[in-house]
Amino acid sequence: MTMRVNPFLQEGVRTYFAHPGILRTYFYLPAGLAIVLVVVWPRGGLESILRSGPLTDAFSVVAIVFLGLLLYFGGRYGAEDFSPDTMVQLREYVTLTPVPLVSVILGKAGFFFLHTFFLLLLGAPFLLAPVAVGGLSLSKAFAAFAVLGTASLAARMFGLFVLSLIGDRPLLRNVILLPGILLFVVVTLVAFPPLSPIHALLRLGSTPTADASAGGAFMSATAASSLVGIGAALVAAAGVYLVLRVSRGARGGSATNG
Amino acid sequence: MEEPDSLERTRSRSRGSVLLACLILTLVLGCVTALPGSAESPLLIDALVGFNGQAREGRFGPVLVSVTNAGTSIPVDVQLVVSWGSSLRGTTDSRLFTRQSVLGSGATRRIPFLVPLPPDARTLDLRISSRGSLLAHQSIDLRGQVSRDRIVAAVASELSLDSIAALSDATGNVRVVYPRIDDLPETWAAYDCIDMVIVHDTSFQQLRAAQVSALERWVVTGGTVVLTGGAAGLQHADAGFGGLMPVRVTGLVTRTALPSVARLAGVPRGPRGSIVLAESIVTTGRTLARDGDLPLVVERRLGRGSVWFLAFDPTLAPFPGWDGMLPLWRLMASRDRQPTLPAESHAPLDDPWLRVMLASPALALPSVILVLALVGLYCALLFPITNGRLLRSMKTRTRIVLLLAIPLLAGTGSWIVFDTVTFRAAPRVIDAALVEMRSGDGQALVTEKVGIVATRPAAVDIAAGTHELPVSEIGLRLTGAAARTPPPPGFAVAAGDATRLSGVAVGRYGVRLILLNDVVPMPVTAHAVRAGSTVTVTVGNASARALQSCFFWTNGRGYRLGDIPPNGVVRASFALEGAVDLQALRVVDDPTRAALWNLVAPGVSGPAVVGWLDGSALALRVGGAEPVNAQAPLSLLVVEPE
Repeated sequence: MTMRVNPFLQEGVRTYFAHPGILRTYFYLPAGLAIVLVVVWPRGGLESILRSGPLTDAFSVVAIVFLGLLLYFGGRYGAEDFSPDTMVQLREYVTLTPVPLVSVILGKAGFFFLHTFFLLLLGAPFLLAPVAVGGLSLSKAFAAFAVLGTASLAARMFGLFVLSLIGDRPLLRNVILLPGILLFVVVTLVAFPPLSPIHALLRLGSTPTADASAGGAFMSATAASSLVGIGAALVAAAGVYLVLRVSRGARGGSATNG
Repeated sequence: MEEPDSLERTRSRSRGSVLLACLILTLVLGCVTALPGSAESPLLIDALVGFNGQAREGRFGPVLVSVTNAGTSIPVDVQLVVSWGSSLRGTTDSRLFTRQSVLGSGATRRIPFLVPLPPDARTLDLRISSRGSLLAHQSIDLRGQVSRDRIVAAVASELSLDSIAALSDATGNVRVVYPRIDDLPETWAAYDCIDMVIVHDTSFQQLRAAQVSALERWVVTGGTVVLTGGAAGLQHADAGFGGLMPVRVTGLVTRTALPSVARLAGVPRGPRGSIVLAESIVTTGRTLARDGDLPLVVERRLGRGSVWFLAFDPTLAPFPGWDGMLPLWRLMASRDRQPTLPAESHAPLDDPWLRVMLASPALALPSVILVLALVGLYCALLFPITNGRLLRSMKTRTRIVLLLAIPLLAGTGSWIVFDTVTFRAAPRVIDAALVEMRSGDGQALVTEKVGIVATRPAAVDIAAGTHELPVSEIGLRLTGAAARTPPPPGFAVAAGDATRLSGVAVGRYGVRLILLNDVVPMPVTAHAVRAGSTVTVTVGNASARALQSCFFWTNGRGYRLGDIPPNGVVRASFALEGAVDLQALRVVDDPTRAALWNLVAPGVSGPAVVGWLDGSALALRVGGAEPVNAQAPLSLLVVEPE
């Protein structure tokens, strides 16, 4: 089975751009960002900006809120919280069909990647505005998208892991999923700041690009945060693989016993 | 039988060790000789800081670099880096000065620099390179050469003026230095680091015209020159000081007592004995002590400074032992020039000119209404597509295309609008010239402020367009965003026929204010006579350009003079109560130019001022673009009150 005909990829594209419940969430994301943007938009002249400096905060606040929204929606998308009941259930599919587990995970990951890109695109107009008015460069905007995208991918894969682990028990899923994501963000921010996406976004908003050494600093913060995001996603994907493999083994065993 | 083999192996090992040692030695020697600077340089360099190695802190000072080239003729870049501040407190700053030169074979070239010497100046690094390779390097510790002491430069063939060091008091010591005639600077600002110049004699040497001009210009900025008399006074005119002196020396006379000099010095007894005096005629200035028709002490006010002429020679008897000599020196040295370089920087945002620039609509941030428009438009386009009930019949593929296209277009539009609107022409630059001079002196002190504000990190080049200028900077300490991201310090100053500042870095939403001080010839004269309730003003414009919208200002009221053509004279009488409205006089429509009014016309008892609109006194250009000041600056002439 190739990626081109991967049923999870195809079904994801069909479902996530047709189902009314999911479509509505595409409005919530920019709407939330819009409110924050209007609230934190710098008011007054340049002199007041120079004295009080809210511009950097405008970018940082919008970016961090964007991160929060992406982590929240990403986790819940990953756990298929918004998916219709008609959608193929992951564990049933795995246990009832002989499709290789790697293909399943690759299909899911491929769709996650494309869908995360789409979500970033949805919020981009409201992130680019403070980037521009804050005097930041486009390279910093792309760096911010890399931080946001990798963090969101990690959250989605964690959501998939929780889904594969717990199955169709939405309340329990969310009890584990959302605090788990929050814990990840808090722990990286408090214990390992250089690895935190929030720290990376704050660095992006406060470092002048004219200074070569500072430019290196923001690139290293971006790279560290992105690598952590990718690493967490890979770990979660490995967890999904193990859980699904165990499930398939148990199903095979019970079928043999039965 | 084994012994010979063993011996052979030992010898072989020994030879190998020797070869290895030789190889290592060769490599080490090769590396050592390949190290930069370890090869014998054909250049012999020396640097003289200030006047005879002495300079007053907080001023600009000359650095005379002498380079002797024992090799072949080469083009070189001579770089001087002056650094100051405390590295412990993280406040180091530096300024790089560059000059290009060609060093002829076997020749010695003297290359003058003008550098700032702030109170905490630390080191001076001299580097000479050619085609990218360093040829010579010297580091000079400035701490022993730059001090708080006041410096008096004595131009004399003998060390005969050391007694002036007795002027030292609680406010600071006074040091006397004796510069060589040839070492006298050709740039007025180089005199900034001294407080008084006493010209005794030049050993019949003639100063270069640029040296005399530099001295004159320094006086305009507040310097004091004392020309002593006696027989040596006959040399002054021939040495080149004729235009500077307040008198014309005609011969020598002898007197035995000078009671008027004693009165001026405030002592009961004057010098007694056979005193040789320079006989003179006062050409400009005020006679403070005279003996009949013979001027003994004459002062000429020139700009902010003064030129004194003493008819006698203070180094000869009976003056060294006279108790009135020290009070007389104290009288002449009473004006202490204000330090050019502030000890601590202050927020440039407090500068009134910069406030105006920051308030410019062109630098205003996009309003929140624009943001609401973006939000409204985007959400209005997105809502029907994301609402499942609306457009229910829309195909999934069409929906996907729209969901991708709308954010893409909105994102592109957002970037273009907010980036373009906010940064229409960053960095922004203003300049404003403050011209001050005194009637009849033909020179003007110009202080030009270049304020640069950038909304994103940027580096600009400034071409000042005139000869070497003293360049200083008003502090960089900012609050808020700019304080968190201060611009990298320092920029290069290339001097020569023109001053050029390269790489003036401005941080994100940063501000830099740079001062360019110059003295330029401004042959404009003004004369005002008040008779009862009428004032008569005569303004002469000997320059080659028309003075536009001239006005006269006195006692807080303004009077129009109109335009004055080149080589024209305007004479007008006004009834003092017939002044025009103050607002009408602010033709520059720049409200912060009021700072000038506060400076030169403080209240009703202040000096009279003639003002006009003029082109930029310093042809300032930034980044090779158009001249930055589109509007004509205001020029002011302080009129001698009568």
